Amino acid sequence: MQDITPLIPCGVLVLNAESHIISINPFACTLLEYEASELVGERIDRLLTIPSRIYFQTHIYPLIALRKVAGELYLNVQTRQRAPIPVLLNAVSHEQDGTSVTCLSFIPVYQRRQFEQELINAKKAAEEALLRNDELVKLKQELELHQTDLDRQLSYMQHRNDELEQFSKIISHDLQEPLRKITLFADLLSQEQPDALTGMGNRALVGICTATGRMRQLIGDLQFYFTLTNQLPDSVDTVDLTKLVQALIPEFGMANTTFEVETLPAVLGNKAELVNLFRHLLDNAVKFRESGQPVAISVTGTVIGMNSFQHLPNKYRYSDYARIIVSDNGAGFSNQHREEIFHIMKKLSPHTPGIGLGLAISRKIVERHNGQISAQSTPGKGTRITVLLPVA
Amino acid sequence: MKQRLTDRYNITITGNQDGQVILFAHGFGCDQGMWRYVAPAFEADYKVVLFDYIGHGRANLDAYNRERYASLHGYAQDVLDICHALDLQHVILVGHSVSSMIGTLACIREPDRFDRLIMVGPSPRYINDGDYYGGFEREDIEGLLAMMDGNFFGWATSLAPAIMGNEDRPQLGVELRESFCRTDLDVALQFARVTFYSDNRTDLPKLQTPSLVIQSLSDIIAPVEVGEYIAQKAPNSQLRVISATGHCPHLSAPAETTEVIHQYLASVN
Repeated sequence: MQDITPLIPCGVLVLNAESHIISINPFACTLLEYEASELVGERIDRLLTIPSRIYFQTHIYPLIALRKVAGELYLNVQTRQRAPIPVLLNAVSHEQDGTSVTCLSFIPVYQRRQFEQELINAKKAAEEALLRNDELVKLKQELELHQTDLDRQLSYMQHRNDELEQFSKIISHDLQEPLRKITLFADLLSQEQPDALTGMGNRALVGICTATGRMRQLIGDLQFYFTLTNQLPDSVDTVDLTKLVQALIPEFGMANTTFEVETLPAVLGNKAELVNLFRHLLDNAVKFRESGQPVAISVTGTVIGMNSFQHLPNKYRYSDYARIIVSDNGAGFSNQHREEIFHIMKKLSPHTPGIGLGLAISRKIVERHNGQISAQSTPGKGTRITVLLPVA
Repeated sequence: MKQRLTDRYNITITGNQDGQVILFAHGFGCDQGMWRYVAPAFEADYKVVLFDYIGHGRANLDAYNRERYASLHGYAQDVLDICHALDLQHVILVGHSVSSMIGTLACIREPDRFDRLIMVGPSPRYINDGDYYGGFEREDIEGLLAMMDGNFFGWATSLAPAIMGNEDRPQLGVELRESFCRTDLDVALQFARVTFYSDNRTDLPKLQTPSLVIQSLSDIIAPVEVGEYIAQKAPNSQLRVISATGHCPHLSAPAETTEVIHQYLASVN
């Protein structure tokens, strides 16, 4: 019988396990403008356009390796002159002498490819129109849903706002007024002749002055907390956190206290509020020390990608946030309290100074900046506060 | 929650249930089947966890969200969601191709969760940029997308359950039913865009997790220069160049790939 190999009207390539060409038939040689001897031992990539090389490595090779067979794959081979030729390719792999051998056959499909391209374009246009339509319908439904929600929230917020305004008035006037009077009377007492009061009387007077001072601070903090809305502050700027934190450290210069501050990413925010935020965080780290031990506080930062939607389900928009971690080796607390420590007036220990507003204010400031704050702690080991803020 | 995630990502767990977790993440163009010659070698000592990304293999396509997967961060979230749902700790994460960068993002997000990151054929940036050599130009990637589109007809048939000529090879029937490398075209196109257009070079210095780069000697997708770049820019990173050819050493040289991973894990533990 006649050897039909030279007559076959399609390209045939045989590859070894390393995707090197073992043999190639005359049709393929003529099509690709090579002599067979030039190609034997070469990698298959030489005969593929660059996009086809990627496609071969990521799709065709795994298919052949796992399934041993692949059919009707479309890709472009290239001639010696790097002219692309669209081909339809079949592949079969089999074991031969203990190694895997792959046979590829391909036929040029110039006209079919053109026709297919038109079909693909038409299909794409139809699909895109459909997708747009689907998306519009879905968006409309979501919008309607959100409108109802929004309306409800607006009336609730209006109500809350009225209450807060009322509360703010109570604080600034009704509570401050008696306090002012107490201070005034105490001042009058202290201006008396030195021997007008007994020793006990003098000590009581000092106590009254200290207590009124703390009360004034408390009322001020409460007022500040309740007037902070969740809206982003009006004046927002690029803030260099490294400088900001380093400028705060001297405030906490105590014996046995060391600070280590990395270079921190710059963030977008209101400087005064961020100073307030980090003052609270550093203050906590220093304050809740393990008694008798040196305090080591570190502030580290890196930029990470996070979904900026925090509440709406199935909504995603990844953007860059600065993740700042303030960690200490202080007293720590049980992780079951990691949420509630951010609540207003929540103090885990009655013996520590302060009134429990620091972290509540911190959270409010972070949320006003569209950020997030969380805590992790181990009793006796220390606490780690993680703050996420939008990068500048 | 756990069952829902198991179905969503077609999670399979084998090996030593009390062992350390080794989590394999497949690359662009295939599914967890890619690890079939490598993963079994770890079953004796490790708890082996495999999964498919949404739109690949047998993961639940309904869970695909175009917004979420418009960025590699969405895929990193997949890895983290799986770790959370299964409560995986001290994870050794092995990522092929783009999953190396997905793994990098996951490790940066939760450094305490991952003990090691093993990257097989990674690249932080496929497109050349000034002095940086990634191996490709933008038009090459456009060409790839057009070709994937063009394979719509091919895919339709290569996914059909019955393919000619397998009567004499009964083992093929089983494999075909398992449908390796089944990928949804729309998902694959978006994944290709996100993969080949992304630039993760600035993420490398942030990677604190100790890492190993497994680099094939000749890989046109992720050339040796790129592997060297990663090992140089990522702290605590080692480079192992292996003599395998192509972008899938876990398929073309599974024994060598397995050996290198074993050696790395033995040397650092």
